[in-house]
Amino acid sequence: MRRPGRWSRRTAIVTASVLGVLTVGAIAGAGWTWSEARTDEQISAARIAAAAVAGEQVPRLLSYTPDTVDTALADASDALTGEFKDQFGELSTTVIAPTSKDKGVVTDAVVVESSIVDVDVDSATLLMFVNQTTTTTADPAPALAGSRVVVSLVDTDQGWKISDLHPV
Amino acid sequence: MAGSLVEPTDEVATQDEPVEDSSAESASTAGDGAGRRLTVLCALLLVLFVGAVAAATVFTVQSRDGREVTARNDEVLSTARAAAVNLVTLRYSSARDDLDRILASTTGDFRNQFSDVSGSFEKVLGDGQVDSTGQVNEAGVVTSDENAATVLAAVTSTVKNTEAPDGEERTYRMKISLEHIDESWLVSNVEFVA
Repeated sequence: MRRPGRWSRRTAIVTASVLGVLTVGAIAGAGWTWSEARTDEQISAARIAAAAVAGEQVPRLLSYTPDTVDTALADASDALTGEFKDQFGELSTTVIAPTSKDKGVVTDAVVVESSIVDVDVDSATLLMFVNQTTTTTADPAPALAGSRVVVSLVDTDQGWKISDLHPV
Repeated sequence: MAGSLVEPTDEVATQDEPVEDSSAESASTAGDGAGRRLTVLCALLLVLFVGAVAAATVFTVQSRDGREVTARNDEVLSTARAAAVNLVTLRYSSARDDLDRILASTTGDFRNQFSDVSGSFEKVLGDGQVDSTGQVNEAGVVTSDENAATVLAAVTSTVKNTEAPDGEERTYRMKISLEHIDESWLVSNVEFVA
């Protein structure tokens, strides 16, 4: 009468131990797969967010008139981050704005195609085809230039920002 | 006094005997608090285990979708890059092979169109002694699903011919459509974006 009782307690202890190990393993597995799934979710979201920000901001960085160039580029630089923001700010005030005012440069950029080169949780690289129509005082006939630009973006505390933009 | 001492013993004896045969475990839980706690613990662990396995299964399915998208985009990009390079890498000395290589990576109407013009294209390459070497500067995915994908490629080639023996650089903005047919990605259209 006591023997089976003791045995069954032993069985219960063994069962609980085995279940305990299995459960710890399963919870660890669930945690790991959860973080994997969450990473994928974040990458999907990054793909959409980065493309949206680049699609909206790239034309702003490349569109201005002599009258609006100062404020347009200052406003547009809000979408930038890091070293590129400083470089663009300097280029705007020392080259782009003076040239626009001197030569009457009016330019308007449109993104005709956009694609994702690479994307991660908090960074993305896009390849965009941009068409830019430019007129100057000396040459008022619109000149259309098609370019290929690679845009890098990072997710900052203030949302997705452009960290680089260069033609290829 | 004596009766009250004997009575519980009798009760335990009469209770245990029939139960012992059917289940040894419930015998221990009935008579023993530690055993009951163990049983509850086992049940709790079992519930946790099943829950964790179920959750892991759901998360695995979710992340597999993500992995598939990443793997597919990589495959689509490498196929499109190779096709773009082939399209602008043509030597008049090996024109037939170069054009056949392009043809092998195409499908559908695009394949038919390319097949139709490849004869005259070969003649143009030979007559002009055209040597074109190309590379993809960058490529990205516009859209992709299991069946079809669209890729942008920024392509540059150096073209030498009788008129420009030193070669001139040309840039292209290609929009390449692909279809997934029989386990491989094939080019179904190439558009030069204006």
